[in-house]
Amino acid sequence: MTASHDALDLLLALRPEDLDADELAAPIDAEHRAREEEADLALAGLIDAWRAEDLGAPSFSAADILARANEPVPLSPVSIDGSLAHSGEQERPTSPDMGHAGPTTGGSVPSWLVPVALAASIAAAAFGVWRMSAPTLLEEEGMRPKSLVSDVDASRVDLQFAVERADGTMIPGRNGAAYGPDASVAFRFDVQGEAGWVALLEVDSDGEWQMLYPMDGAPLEVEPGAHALASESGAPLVYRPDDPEAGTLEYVAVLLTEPVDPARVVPGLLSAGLHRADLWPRPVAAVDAVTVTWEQR
Amino acid sequence: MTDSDSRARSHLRLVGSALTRLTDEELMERHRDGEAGCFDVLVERYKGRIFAFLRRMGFNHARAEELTADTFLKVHRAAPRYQPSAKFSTYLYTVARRAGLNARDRMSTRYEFAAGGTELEVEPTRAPDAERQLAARRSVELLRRELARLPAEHQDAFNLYYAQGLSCAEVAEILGITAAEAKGRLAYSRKLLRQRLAGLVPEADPSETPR
Repeated sequence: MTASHDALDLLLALRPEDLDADELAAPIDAEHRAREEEADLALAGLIDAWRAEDLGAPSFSAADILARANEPVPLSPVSIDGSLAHSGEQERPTSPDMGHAGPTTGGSVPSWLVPVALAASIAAAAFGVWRMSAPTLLEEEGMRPKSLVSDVDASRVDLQFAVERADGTMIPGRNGAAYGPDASVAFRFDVQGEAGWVALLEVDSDGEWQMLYPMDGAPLEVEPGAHALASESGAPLVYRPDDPEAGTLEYVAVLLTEPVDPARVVPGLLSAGLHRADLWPRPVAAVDAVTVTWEQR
Repeated sequence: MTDSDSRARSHLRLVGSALTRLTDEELMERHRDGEAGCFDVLVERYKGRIFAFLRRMGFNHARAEELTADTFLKVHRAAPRYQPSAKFSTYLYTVARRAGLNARDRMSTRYEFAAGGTELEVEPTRAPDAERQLAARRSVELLRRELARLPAEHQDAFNLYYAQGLSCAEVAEILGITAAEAKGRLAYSRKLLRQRLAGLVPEADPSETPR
């Protein structure tokens, strides 16, 4: 295909407002252009007919959606600043800037996971456990998938987690393990190679995903080394299942080369597949994933 | 007028038709802040488009309706975190496409339109232009089948650009690619379809319609 054909293909495919000045001014052989335009005419008619097809219309209303949303969902206490909120009736958040510092609090948090506050001593214990044994334990078990790395960047991210059981004891998280529904979990990223930005998402068995961190705003900027997921105030972010039937979930750490909104690259990443580094959206440098099964209540 | 009256007036909410004059982003912010009626306007504004988008992803009526409802449910549930940093419509299409991709992965046949064909069956009719209508529908079916042979990412770009009328920049944002990549996918798809359909598209004379 010549450069002239490339330019012509763009001219035939795109509306004028989507073409830049160079594309509009590209030199194209007039005879060739006329021939291709004629051939494209029939296709244009087909596309018009395809677009005009009557495909029917949905019959639901907004009230139906809101009724579904109001079906009772058990909630866990919610807070990131130390105090435990009460479960039950939720309040709709009114502050437009809420949630910029990480997982948000209150409101109808869609995730089955909501952040809960743990005492600093418990969190410190969790990090202590990590430092002492978590990486070794995970490697010895051989259950952990290797961090997946983009071809264009040699950086790696290693996702680790610690679990607080219902009885208050802290244990290093194990990939593929099952935990009780009353357990809580905290995450840590271990970044190797270049500095970058990290985000954490959750993918369920149906492929549905949601961002655990950040809920809004920029991902966490990290230098090479280990970083516990924490709020801006430095308090560790700890999550608890909010759905009695959460089942098996995958947690995916994403290392980005740019501080883009992770939510904008996740669809492309998941569409490509976590194992297809060659198809990932450009800012994604590495991913790592762990799987956890939450036992039902 | 007292200060109290002034405050009361300033907190009056827009209702009814006044809401329909608000932008998507304004409606979503107001919905996030708990104002009634805003979500209704957004649903009515977009449910048909999202439904059509999902239908053209290959879902039958019932499944497309279900996925459309799921899309709005997700948007509603995410409302507390909504920030108008991006265009609402591209966000909505992104959510819808994700729902479609997840559902598509679970389908035994990837494209119901192409595989089943029941969606395209033509009802017997005695209308005078029945033959012409039949030919037109078969031509569209040819296009649909060729579309189904394109890579999935190209199909979605084609659907968003030509059927939904989005810009290249919007298509790129929804697909998580660059505008240049979106342009390339569209140009490639259109050229491929032009080549594959050459000679297959019937002329205006219905007697030449492929049987």
